Amino acid sequence: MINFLQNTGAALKDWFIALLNGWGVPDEWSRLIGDIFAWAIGAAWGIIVIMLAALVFIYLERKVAGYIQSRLGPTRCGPAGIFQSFPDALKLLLKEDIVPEDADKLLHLLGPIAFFIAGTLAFIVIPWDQGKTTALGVDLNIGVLFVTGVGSLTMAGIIMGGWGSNNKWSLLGAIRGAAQMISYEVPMLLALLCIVMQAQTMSLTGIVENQHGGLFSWNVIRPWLWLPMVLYAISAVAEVNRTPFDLPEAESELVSGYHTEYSGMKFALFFLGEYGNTYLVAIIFTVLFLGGWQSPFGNPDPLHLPGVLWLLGKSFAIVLVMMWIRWTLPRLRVDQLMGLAWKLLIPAGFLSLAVMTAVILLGWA
Amino acid sequence: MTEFTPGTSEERLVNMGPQHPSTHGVLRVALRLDGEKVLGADPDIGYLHSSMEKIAEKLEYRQYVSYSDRFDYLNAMGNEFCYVRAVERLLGVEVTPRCEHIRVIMAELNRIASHLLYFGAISLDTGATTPFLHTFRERELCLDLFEWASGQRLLYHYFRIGGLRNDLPDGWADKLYQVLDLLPQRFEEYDDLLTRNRIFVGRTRDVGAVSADQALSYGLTGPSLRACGVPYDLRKLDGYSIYPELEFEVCVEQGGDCYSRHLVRTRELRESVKLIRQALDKLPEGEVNVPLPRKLKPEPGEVYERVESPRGEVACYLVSDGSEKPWRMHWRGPSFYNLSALDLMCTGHWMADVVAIIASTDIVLADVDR
Amino acid sequence: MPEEIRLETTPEELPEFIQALREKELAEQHGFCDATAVEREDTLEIVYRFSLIARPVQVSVHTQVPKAKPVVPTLTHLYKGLLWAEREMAEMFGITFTDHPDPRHLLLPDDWQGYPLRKDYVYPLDHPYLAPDPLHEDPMKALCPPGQVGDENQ
Repeated sequence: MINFLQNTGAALKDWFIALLNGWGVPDEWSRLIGDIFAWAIGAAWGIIVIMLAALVFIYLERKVAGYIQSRLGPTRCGPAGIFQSFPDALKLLLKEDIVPEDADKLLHLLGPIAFFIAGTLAFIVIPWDQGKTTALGVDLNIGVLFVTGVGSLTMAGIIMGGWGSNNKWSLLGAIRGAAQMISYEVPMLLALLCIVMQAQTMSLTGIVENQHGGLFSWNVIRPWLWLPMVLYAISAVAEVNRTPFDLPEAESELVSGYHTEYSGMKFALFFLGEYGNTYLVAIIFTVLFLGGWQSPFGNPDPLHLPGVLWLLGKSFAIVLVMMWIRWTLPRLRVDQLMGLAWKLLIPAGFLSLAVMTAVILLGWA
Repeated sequence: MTEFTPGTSEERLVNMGPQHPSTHGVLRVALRLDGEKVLGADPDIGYLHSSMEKIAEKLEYRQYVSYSDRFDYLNAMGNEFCYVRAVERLLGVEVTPRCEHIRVIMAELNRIASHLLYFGAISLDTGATTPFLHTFRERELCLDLFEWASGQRLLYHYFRIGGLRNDLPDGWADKLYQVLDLLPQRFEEYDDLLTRNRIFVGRTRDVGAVSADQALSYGLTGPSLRACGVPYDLRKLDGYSIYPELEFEVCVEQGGDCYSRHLVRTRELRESVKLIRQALDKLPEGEVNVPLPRKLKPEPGEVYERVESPRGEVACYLVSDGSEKPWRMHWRGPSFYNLSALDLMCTGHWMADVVAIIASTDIVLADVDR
Repeated sequence: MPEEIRLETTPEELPEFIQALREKELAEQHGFCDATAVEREDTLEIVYRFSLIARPVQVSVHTQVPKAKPVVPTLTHLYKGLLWAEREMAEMFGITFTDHPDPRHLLLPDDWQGYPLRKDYVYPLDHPYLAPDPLHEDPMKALCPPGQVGDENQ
């Protein structure tokens, strides 16, 4: 399927170049513009993925929440409410955009934009199927570094949103969010470092290739990677501000925290960015630990399913687990959150790094 | 408006305003914060003041029963219990045994409903949204029973001076037995989900601790006082109505913090189930109403009648001047005194703890403001 | 039923009286129950109520304060629950508690005139909170003209 898309992409690019040549543009210029055109489509890939994923997740979250709370969730828009996301999105688009009177208008506008962009950028480097198929057609050989670097830009969006709202509660939420994200970057990076040591490469395609060969060669089976797996799971959930770590937007304390004063499209951007981040974390988890696009029955896939479907299925399962946790557990308090990161997870990260080094030296990897 | 002069340059005044998801009603708490640490909490009440005490001076005794419901609206049966007992004491009237048993059953069922709501509210405030819906599912069973008996789900107007509005319908007792059989295992589920949850314990242990002396000085009663180790339960102490004949234990915990208060209430849920079952087993036959004259004119005098509500000691201080309207009616609100200790409980804790503390004091603004 | 002990004292001797009580009747563990006021013919009667914990005994201390000059010393240094109870009595009855650490209005707005729970209280219809909204007509005024049965209850 990705071959089809890639071929379509190449065909589109050729068509565009031919069009420009037909208009009389010199060949080097039209090739250059054609390249830029292809890159623009590839860069928009992140937005496309988030939009589609968010449509599914908005509905799924409400349904899962409903069933866990022994009630039904949306049932009216279509059979079992499956079209519920469309009216939700439409409602947000049609709402009035309210900006508080004394708010810093520029920051109020830039906050959700930065948050959303930071979430979408990282989708570019994820390998969707066999071969060096990321959306741009190339594989970034520092993929892991890129993802973490871009992911921390969401913090800037949160702080801009909290400050620009001219609201003490939003500011409290934003500050909590910034502190939380900074603190949980470190255990996440330590866990990722173990994976990079295991795969001997930072490129995400390389990490998936390292798990070649079916279920029993995935990183989830290798015992020395269990601690990094737990570390990454906890830190990633904390990075995307989901319960039990959703202090920055604690509904019962801060009435929505840093996105209290937002409505309409800006709120939709925060909302989509949040689901995008959740999905990003789930996909990275799948790529790192569950073999990415590989089928559990080994390569080549005996069921002849395209790798993209395996990737989607696994990442959706991870998102379902994250939703399950959200609706079950209470939330941690600020000092307990920080204490967990600095006093428990970071020492555990160093321990896992030491274990990984020992494993490599002993030649078991 | 409170005048705010910051003590240090780091201090801020943050309004946990009248509209807030976790203040359990319209309550404004003016928090002085240093970053996230609370330096002082000043509750500003009066948003729900509806001059219940002044209205009592203009109504006859019988007309006031439906106002007494609205005093602590989650414990309407208990409030009515207090008021009608006060008037009956002024009049010197004794009600029939069947009426006493039914009143106790209703009061205890209301205690279960109120504690279930508390459970849901504190889980919602600490972040776990799910137990809220589960406890409300059980609360619906209790409210269905109330609706069957009295016609109303929340504010019943079921008790009358000298008896009840009507006897229990046929089949009510059997339905109640079914509900009582179902409840204990559900309480276990809730405990599994919340009370034994590591995160919840971390949120509520050692938060909002009050010592026994401070509690007695502030006038705390009910679960807040029993969590400090003081065995003050009016059902055992005063032994009003038929409580001396029923076997139950007073739930006391040590520590005085939010978690102890939570444990006291979860244990009280089970004690109430026991109490209802005993009262239902012993339910005698007979009339429920005692004939009384058309105009009630008690002797001049005063009476202070108190009952144990899910929040503490609800009392009605009734002064009569011999006419058919009261001279002065004063309600002693348990949440009034429980809330006055908020500054003591919150100072030195984090801002997120304020929410947990308010939830664990289980206040109802209507009996703070009257 | 609880045993009730009723004691009377004068406002000037109130602090010493309560202090002495803490050695006699209230020597055991006791809690502060309630404090309120009742209007009598020429005086306001203030009632403080305490309850023992181990035995069902209630002790109530009554003080008569002249309506012309209702001044009572505060007891907040002995029982912290009186912080709010005295504020409420002050705004509802007009009683002044000397040396109260925080004499603001509790339930009523800060600028409320009059003492609502007194019998001669006149409702201040010209308070800004109660002014008729110039933008909206009250629809009930047309349906319920004055001079009907039940007016004395308004």
